[in-house]
Amino acid sequence: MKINEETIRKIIGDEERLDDRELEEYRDIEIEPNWVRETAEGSAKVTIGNTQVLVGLSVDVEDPYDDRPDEGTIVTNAELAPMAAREYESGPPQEPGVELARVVDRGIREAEAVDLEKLCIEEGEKVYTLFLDVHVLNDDGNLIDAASLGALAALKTGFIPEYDEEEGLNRDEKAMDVPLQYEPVTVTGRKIEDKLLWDTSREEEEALDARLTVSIKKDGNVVSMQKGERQPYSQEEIRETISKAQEKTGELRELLEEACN
Amino acid sequence: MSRVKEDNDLVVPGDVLFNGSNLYANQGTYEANDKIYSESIGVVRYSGQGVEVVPMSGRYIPEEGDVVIGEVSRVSYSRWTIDLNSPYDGTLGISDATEEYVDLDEDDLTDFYDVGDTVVVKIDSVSESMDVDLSMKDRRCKKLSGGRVIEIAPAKVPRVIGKGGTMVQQVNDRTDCNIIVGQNGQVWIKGDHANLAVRAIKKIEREAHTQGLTDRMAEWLDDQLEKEGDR
Amino acid sequence: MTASKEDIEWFDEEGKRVDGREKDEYRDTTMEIGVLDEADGSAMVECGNTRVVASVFGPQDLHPKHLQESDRAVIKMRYNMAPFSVDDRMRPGPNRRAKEIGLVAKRALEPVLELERFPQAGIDISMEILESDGGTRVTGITAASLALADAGIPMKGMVSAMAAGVVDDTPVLDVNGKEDKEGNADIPVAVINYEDEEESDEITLLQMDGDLTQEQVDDCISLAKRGCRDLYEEQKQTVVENYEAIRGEE
Repeated sequence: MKINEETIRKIIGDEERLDDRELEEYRDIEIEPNWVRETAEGSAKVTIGNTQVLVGLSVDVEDPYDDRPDEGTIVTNAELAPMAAREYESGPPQEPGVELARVVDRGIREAEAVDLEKLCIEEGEKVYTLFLDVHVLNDDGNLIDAASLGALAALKTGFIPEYDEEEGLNRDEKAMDVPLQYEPVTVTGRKIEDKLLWDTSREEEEALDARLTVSIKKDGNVVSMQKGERQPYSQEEIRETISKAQEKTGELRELLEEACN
Repeated sequence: MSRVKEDNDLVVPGDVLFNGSNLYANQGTYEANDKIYSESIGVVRYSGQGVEVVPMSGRYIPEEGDVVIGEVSRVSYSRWTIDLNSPYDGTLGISDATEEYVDLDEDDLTDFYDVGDTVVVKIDSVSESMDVDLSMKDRRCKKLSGGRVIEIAPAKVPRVIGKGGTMVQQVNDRTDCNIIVGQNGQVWIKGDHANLAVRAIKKIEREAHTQGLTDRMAEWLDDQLEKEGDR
Repeated sequence: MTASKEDIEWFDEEGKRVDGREKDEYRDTTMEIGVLDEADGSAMVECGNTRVVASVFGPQDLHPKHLQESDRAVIKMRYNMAPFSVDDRMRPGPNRRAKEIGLVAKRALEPVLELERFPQAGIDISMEILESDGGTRVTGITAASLALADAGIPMKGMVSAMAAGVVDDTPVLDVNGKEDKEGNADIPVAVINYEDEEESDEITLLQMDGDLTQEQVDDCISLAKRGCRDLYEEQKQTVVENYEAIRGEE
């Protein structure tokens, strides 16, 4: 038996929250880079409140895409492990998992965070492929922000292994850091009963009307956005959300710097 | 024939509690090889007649006589199905639901209880194949309106209620709330400082197995109320 | 250039293995119980660089209904390796090896569970391998047993598991990834543990890959059983520490 959606709407409508936070307040955040010790080329475990997400970076060498012969590739995948919540079932990727992967991907690839040309080994023949695998261990809401933070931390602290024509990939030797040219931080504003709130728990998300995910660079420019869920946003609400996102990404960026250095 | 552990020891599945077979193996224990073993993580309690292990956790399994809080999940021709947050749903038949005369062809069952309604019900009987029969015929039973329901571990319910209801009464008084604790771990809270009441219940749940909790909770509640600028 | 099997020095002059261990020594192990909030029970076990999280939901409503059994609970067991858990990324998705491991792991745990206590219900057990360096299924089983106990599911005893193997004709305990891949055998074993015996004699998981004499097989099983017993002591310790910490809070 879950808390009534009606009850959540009423509480949020009163500008209160289930755990006494402010509408814009994030829960305690913990970022642990290099959580995976040996088998990944980068990783980070991110905890926001009770939400726990593990992101791994695996690097391989493959053919480039036909239309981008001199660029490396990034593939983002998300797994909502059945252990993350009672309602999850094993099986092929479901809607929430697919959307999560695509939103995280957008915040990195579309934002051109990684200089893909630096990942080219031999034009038209061989390029580095970065696999970002998001593994959700416990879902207590706001998976997008946790996963995005984890992906960025994994890229920041990860590495590209040496590649040799004859010997292939040598994962014990670092060729270079991941060529990050921008570090877009991603945050998601959500709307319930016309109230704008941040870092929703899974219970709160039962009553979700709409959400807007925004990725912002250090210089304050917006590099990607995605609106989700059923209800519409007004332009003023979008303005408000992006403004607040500037503030929030600043806070998260500080935490990220601290954790990765 | 002897006790192997001390009263109140923490035990795990497979631990030996008693050498011999002249003691009743009660809840949380089983007999084998002329001994009594624990089958749960929990606290062992010896009495003159038997030994039991009070488990630390576990989903709610309906038991006759329990008063629980559930949600109506289905309305059929002559009965309601109630979700008890258990692997087993309960069934409430018409005659157990109301004293009023109900004409099955004329009256609408949803007039009494509809899907989504939260109710306090009593467990009348549980069959071997886990058919759970419910009844409203107890003065504690009723439909609940407003408020919110939170979930705690059924194993912690006795602690949250406290001896003679003292623990939950304490929270009631200080938060000006109405609180009903179901044996199935569902807790209904309604009142002005509902958020504080929720946090208090969760705190009691977390610290259930510690000493001096009643006094500590009193202090904590007063503290929190002061912080809310409300004394 | 990978060394051929004959080239690897399995034991140095002092008889230590490739990672410095004695032949009957298992890797540094840490265990934690109650690591996930949503699940009814959970545990994380790390054995060297093999790291597994296990979760349990249940007993709970089982769907679809035709899978229900009228007189007992049904166990669903999942074994899954995260893509980044191995050097060469593993493509996500179901695979036959994972299905098989799920099945033998289920059989390893079933005998201790009082399934008739919960007719028609379901118990969902999940093992996620977050990092793999040999012994993932046995580490998963050890974690799953803790998770089941954490969930309050009645159990006759605790199940622990460990693998033995043979390298350089010598039986060794708890083979790591390299010893498993390049060595001569891998024998995962799981046992049911009770407090009042020195060592278990109820083996619920036994598999073998390799080429050994009967005697070597027997030696390996003995070795694994002893390792399992030590692991059981660690399981008990973990439970006590976790709950005493809560009890001691003043």
